[in-house]
Amino acid sequence: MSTWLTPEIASAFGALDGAAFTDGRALDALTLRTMAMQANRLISVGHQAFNLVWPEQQVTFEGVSQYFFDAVASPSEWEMLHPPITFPKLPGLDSGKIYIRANIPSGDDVIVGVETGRSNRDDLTATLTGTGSFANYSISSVPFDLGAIDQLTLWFRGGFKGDLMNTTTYGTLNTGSAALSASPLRGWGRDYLVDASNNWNTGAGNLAEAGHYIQIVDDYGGSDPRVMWRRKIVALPLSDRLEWGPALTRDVFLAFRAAIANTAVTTQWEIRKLPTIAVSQIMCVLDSRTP
Amino acid sequence: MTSFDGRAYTGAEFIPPALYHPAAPAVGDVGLQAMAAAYMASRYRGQLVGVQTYPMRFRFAAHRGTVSSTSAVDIAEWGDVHLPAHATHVGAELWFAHAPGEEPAEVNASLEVYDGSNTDTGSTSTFTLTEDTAEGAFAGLYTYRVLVEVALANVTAPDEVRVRLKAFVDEPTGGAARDLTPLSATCWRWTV
Repeated sequence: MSTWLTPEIASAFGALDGAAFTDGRALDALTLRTMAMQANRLISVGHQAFNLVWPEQQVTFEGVSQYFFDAVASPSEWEMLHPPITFPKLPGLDSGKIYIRANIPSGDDVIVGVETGRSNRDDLTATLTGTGSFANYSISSVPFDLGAIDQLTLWFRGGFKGDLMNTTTYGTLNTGSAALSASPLRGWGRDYLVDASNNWNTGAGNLAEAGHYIQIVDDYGGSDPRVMWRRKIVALPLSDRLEWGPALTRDVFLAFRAAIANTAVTTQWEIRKLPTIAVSQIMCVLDSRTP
Repeated sequence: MTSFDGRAYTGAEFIPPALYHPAAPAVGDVGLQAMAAAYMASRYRGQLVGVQTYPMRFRFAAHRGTVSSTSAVDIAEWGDVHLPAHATHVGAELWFAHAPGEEPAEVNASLEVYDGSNTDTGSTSTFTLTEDTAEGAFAGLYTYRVLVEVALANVTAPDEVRVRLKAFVDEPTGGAARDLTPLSATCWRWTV
């Protein structure tokens, strides 16, 4: 672009001396240029949209030590991490950066989906890799509405890297294939699985409450293992029965039941731990506008 | 705040050097655009009064902080707020959740601004909660948002202003209390 068309922006804002505007005096080129640069600065510099913080110290509640803003990630479906946050902004600013400070177990991933007036959670995602302690994460170039107001909603789901369920803590088994039966619980939005060889602990803090998911792997142990589907385990009513949700579609469910009934097909299920995330800060800063 | 020409400038464009080139016959345009930029920036910068959120992910508050009342309850309060002299309105948006099956139900929300001696109270914003008026659903609950505003008429002190957002849900004719679970609230000021 021509240098005569590329706006100049002042590096700091300062008022022009009143003498520059003496009545009856012509405005010189430097005064006009300073006025224009300062006007450009006024409409271009970004600003903070909001900054929310929560304690990082664990608190004991009902006998369990936990973080104040603590969540178990969902394996297959988006869940809302934080309700919509509406904020006023300077019109014309159309992008920003989101800062998240969170504690995610080492080796786990949590995927965050960002929804604004100009992005949806499927188009703008970021993978937060766990460190085992509170760490700073940021998501850059988040598009925002050009107008005077916008809204940010954060969604999240698990990154499917969880370890196999701890059988010492939650009971056995954490993988299986034989003598399996499964049925839909229509109307409840979930399916269930029964395997008489299982002996899961059903008391407080069981595998469903602690956060686990079930996944079905085809060609298990073979040369081309594939995960057919994953679902979050939502209830453990009996020691040999678990329920997952949301329910599978009818076609997938029938294919799954046929596969596990066919001993020639090496289909196997696994129970794995869901990644957790504890949040202590969510901040949003709007980028400066460029010509 | 009235702009220099009485117009509401809701946006402003960059001024390119071509307009203030010594040979450019556009001095008036530079002045006009510079003033429009100044007006727009003072109108829209620093508007935020505060954000208050109540994520459902708070394990510590497993009860979800649900409000059940037939009269106004303080949902959020912001203190030591600075309102510039040209601010004419304060408004807030409240997101909340409500359990399906509790109909009929109606939300009532209002905003109050207090400067230590004078109070401005906005009219109560009301609408009926149905599946159709819900913005979405989450964790088995419908989510709604309600907008409230108050025109500043009596409040004069610009500093140490307190802004209170009040709300409750009950039956439409003022009957039994219904549950209201706050999710987030944002408050900001603006100038007409």
